[in-house]
Amino acid sequence: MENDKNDNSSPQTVDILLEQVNFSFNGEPVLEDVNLSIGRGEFIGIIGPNGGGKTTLLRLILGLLTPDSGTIRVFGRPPVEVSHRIGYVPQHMQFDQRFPATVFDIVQMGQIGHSGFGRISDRHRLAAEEALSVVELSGLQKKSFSDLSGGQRQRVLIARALASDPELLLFDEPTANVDSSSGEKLYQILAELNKRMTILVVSHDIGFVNHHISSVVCVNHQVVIHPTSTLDGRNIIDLYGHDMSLIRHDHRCSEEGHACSNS
Amino acid sequence: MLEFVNDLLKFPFLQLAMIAALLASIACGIVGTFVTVRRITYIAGAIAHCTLGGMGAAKYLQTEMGLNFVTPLMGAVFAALTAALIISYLQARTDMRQDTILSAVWSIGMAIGILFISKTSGYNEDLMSYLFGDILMVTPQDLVLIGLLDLLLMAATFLFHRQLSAIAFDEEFSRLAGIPVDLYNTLFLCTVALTVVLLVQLVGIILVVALLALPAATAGLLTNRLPTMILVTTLLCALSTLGGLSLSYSPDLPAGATIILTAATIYLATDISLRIRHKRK
Repeated sequence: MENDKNDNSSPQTVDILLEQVNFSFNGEPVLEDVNLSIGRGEFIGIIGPNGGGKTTLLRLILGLLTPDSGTIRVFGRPPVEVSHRIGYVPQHMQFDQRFPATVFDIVQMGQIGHSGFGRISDRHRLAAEEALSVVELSGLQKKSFSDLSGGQRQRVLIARALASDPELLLFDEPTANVDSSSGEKLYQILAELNKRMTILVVSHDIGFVNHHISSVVCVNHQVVIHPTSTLDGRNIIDLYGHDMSLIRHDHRCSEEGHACSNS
Repeated sequence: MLEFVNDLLKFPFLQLAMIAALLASIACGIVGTFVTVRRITYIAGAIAHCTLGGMGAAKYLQTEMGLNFVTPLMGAVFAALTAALIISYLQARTDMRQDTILSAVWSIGMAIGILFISKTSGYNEDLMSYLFGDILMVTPQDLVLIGLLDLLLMAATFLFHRQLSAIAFDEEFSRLAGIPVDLYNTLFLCTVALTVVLLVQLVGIILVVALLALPAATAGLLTNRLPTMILVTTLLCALSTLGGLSLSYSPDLPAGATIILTAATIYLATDISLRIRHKRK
């Protein structure tokens, strides 16, 4: 691929590091002994069944949750100290469809940690416009957020994340409630963005795993790294617990390999 | 209507009432918009009803205990801020259901008020004026207070509207961006509390809830940006209060109730005409 940062032979900066991380909710273990290392410039897909702990993993990396034990480092620091350097794209379905805001209003909310008080500065206005052009929505600046399709809303939320110039993009369920052509468009945009930032995409929908993704991490409570294994039919069935139709895709592993459940 | 206009020129109390209605509209436009898009008009409602407890207790201390420096306004401020802090604390730190918290605060506040009012000699008629207010009894001091509140709200909105809007849209994202969300939320609720207190003095507890909810709901149908929604809500508030005031005048109807029904009629008319237009398209 065009991205030599992904080259396994070059020394990699580690963006995200989890060591022996445990997390439980109301006494129920959600994640047990998670070890994970994600290098700069990677494009990671995190997959697993609903309730398997994917979203918990994402929230731990964002610093919205604290592990019971173990260490989490993002850019070598505790997540809460660096969360403003992470672009987070939540699921677009969770938003109030009637919220009074234009596309541009939503995008510039991404700069809220940096842009001070009162009127927005020209510099931030330009950055927000730039972010909108990356997701190819420049023409819709003044449109109501509530008038957009699911796929367009998703892209507005990406632009919001990009407006603060993040070094890492975390994406929760990008293809949920988005039609397949919008989904493909989304991955083209993400692949382009991957040239300048690390990307993590969470999905319960394994069909999303496409050729843009450099490594796949499988999460189902016990996340164990298999350094050299490939994601094949047996792993998927182990992960999801029942037979399902499988898709064929090319994926390669990072140096660390990818993590898959052995439960 | 004509009689209203004639008397408006003659009687200072009517002029005061009109100015009060216009000044209250600014506060309602700003605070009403934010509580509506955040879907917390019931928090404003709970705080408003709690002021009854504060006003009742203050009146009791004043007349029965001889503590003349305690005024109902002080009692209302104390009760509203206490209610805001209790709600804010319980929401952030416990897993209690939100509607349970609000119903409890709402009814406990009113119960305390009723107890004190019943033990205060000769002031039972206050209950009606606390609940429905009397905009025709507004004093110049009230106008100064509400004018100061308007200035405070306009300055805060100008400075913080992007932060407030981002938090209203996506609290979690704002937290990740480094905004002190809990601090903003607590200050916001205290602002709601102060606004509610001052408006209760003018228009009564029940009218406050209506003025915060109905004009903003209408504006929500008509606008797609927060700043325009604030302006339209303010205009609709002014239209409802002035309209209600003038309609109630000649037939001698209660002003507060007429204002609420005017605001409700504007909402219904807007909603229906938008639906008809939508169908024609």
